[in-house]
Amino acid sequence: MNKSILFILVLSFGVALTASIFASSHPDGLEKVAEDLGFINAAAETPGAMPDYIFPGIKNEVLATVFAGIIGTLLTFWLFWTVAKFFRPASQ
Amino acid sequence: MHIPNGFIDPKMATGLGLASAGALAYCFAKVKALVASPVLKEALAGVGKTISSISGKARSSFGDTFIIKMGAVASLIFAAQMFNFPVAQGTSGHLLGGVLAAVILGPWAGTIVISAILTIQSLFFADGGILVLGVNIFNMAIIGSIGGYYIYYGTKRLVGFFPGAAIAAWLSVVAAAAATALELGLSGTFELIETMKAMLSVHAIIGIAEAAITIAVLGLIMTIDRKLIEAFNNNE
Repeated sequence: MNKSILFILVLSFGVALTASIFASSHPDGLEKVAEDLGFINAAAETPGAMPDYIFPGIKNEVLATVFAGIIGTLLTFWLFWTVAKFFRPASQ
Repeated sequence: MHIPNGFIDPKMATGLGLASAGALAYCFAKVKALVASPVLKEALAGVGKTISSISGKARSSFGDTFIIKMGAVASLIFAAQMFNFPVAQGTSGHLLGGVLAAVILGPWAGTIVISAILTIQSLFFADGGILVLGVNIFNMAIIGSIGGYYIYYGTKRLVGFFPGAAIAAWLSVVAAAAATALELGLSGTFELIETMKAMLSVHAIIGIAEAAITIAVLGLIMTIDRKLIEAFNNNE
């Protein structure tokens, strides 16, 4: 693989890992506004395999987030990787 | 700024969903033409060199390498979005990445990248409602990448590459916040003016971080390989 692209990929796993450990757990801008103005309760519970970036079944929250983050990052890349296959010329 | 289910009137969600679907169809057509374009393939030969080493048998081409580059940028922005930074009084913010993606990949591929991230977040991480995915794509991918790109494109001529990207990044967050407030207000979720004031004041600050992260990552990528960014821009 192109070295520079590989670098970006490695960087993203590094960022996912760091984010899992250091990310602020405060509500984000929109959530905070919804809390302050009092319409946060209008939000409907959404189902999801890994809600709040927590991999289910792992007690350690940081570890659960690391898992979820790495899976999400891989999943994102895999999606494009799969699409790219259709544009790859046939082998010679 | 991911809107959950329940905040937006279903009619508005449907309307913006259709608008987003239309815009995405246009983006797909543009990117498909780009990856199939022999002119660009030649012009960008330097970028599309060596995918062959992975499979060992497939010949390299610009098309698949460009899509893999989209994937790498997408995974980086996905990871970066997880990084909530503290803003003020119990509030956090995170990168939206629309301008970052668009400056590296162009507005059409950038929009697809951010939309893919929003879709994965909504489907697997309960981050942003599935019923309002089209609204979130409209706010963060379309306003962020297409709107942000053209702000960048205009401002970089006046103030240069990095300041142009920074201004576009800041404006893209503020514009997305304004759009969100407008959607909430028109949905009757909360009074429009109050929502607008609150959304703009907090996102004016979050936008500064967006600008800082955007130019830091662009700077880093340019240090690694200038062609990753410039190759596309020279052909725009």
